[in-house]
Amino acid sequence: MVGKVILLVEDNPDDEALTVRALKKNNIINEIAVVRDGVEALDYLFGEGVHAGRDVSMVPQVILLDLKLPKLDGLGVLRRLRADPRTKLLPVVLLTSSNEEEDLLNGYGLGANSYVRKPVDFDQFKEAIRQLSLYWLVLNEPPPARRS
Amino acid sequence: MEFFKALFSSGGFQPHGFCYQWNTGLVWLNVLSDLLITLAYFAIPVIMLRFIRKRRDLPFSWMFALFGVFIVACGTTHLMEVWNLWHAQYWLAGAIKAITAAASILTAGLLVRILPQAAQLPSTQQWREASAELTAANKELEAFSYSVSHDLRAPLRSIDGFSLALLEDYSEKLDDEGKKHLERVRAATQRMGALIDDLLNLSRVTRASMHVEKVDVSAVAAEVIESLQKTQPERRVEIRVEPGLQATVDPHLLRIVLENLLGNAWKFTSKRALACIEFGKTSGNGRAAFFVRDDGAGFDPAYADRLFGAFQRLHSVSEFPGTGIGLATVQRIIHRHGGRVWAESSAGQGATFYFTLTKLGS
Repeated sequence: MVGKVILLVEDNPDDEALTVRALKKNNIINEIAVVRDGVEALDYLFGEGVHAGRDVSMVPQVILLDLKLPKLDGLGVLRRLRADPRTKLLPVVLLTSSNEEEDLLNGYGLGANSYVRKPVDFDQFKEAIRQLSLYWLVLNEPPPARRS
Repeated sequence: MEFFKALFSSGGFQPHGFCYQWNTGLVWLNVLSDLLITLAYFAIPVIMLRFIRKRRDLPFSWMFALFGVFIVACGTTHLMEVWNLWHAQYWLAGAIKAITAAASILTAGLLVRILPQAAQLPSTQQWREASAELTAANKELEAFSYSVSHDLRAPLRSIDGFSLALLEDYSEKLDDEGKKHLERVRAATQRMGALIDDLLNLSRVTRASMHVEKVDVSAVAAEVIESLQKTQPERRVEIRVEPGLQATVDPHLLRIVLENLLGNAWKFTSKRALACIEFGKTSGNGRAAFFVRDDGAGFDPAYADRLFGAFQRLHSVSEFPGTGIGLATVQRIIHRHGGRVWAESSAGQGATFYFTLTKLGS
């Protein structure tokens, strides 16, 4: 599993700390890259802006994407990812507070691979992260890397 | 007898045509005009009747009926004018005019009386404004719910998560009392999370669009009970579901109603060794109603009016858990279906919850 990066797009430092903690508690040793708004998420993935020069051939195994983000929100990020051939097939898990019907419909409509609501109870949150990482890092076969 | 004879006799008078000296143009001008007036006056009430039938919610619909009588009477006087050109039954004509006069005076008098009320009826413009205001308020409510859904839960996750982190990482520095405090913090946080979720569900029930169809209510009730039994398979509960009950209802909302009512029955019978929960239909008081009956804790009928209020609870959380949103949700759903929900009980004697839906199936 070495080299498989999880990209966490999360603006709330508490949620970031808790997600990282939940991953650690579940013995996930993968590198966790954290970006704090939608624009930075795109910069990271496309090697632009503050992440200019990053080796973009290193694509994350899965993106954990929050919906409410500063600058560009989660749905905006998703729209841009799905429109770009480099990131069109990238597994994206929406990890968010709300279970509003509108968010679910928009999320799936824009091509999210999964939608998980963050529970208030940290024991449940930890379990959600455990199942998520087991599925997306171990069980799921990622799309093959594009060779140009 | 004499009266009718007089009414239908010409009494030696000349027919009206004589006044026109049988001038063909003048006679036909009068005949055609009177006939057209008659036709119009007879047609107007028919049109009004159809209008009233289509708009059953119309205020002062009796006024329209009175207008109809008045206009038909006017039409008849014009028909009589035509008849009188050749037949001098002026007493009959006079009698018809007298009836018309009475109907007209009555209509005019009643119009004056209802004028202040009618003036208070909201105009189309006012309706439009009110409905625009309502739409704006709904939009605001939606934005509010959306924000609650996203923003209000996040701090709770932090409180719960970091309380647990303290318990896990600093347990040797905390004595039992300190740990207990943190457990309380976590319990309260999770309770608030549950309250927010229930409140969001309550508002969702109001906002969701309705799609009614024919639903096998008994089958839904049986499914709900089955899933309740799976949560506590060790409990002994006698279940009675009257089979084959149908209703025209939104299936998703009906399930929420039954989940809440049967869930309550399940919860409030939890202290009985052998409980009984029943679902069926009764036609007491001449009106068919579905009911959910249990032999559990029941409630004091003195507080029955508080049952359906949001956050209202008649039992303490330690006695029976809950947020107090369930029955408020049930009531909103039933009201959206144009039905009614009520409950009967006495403390310790179990409870029966009844509900009606306007479109009750066979």
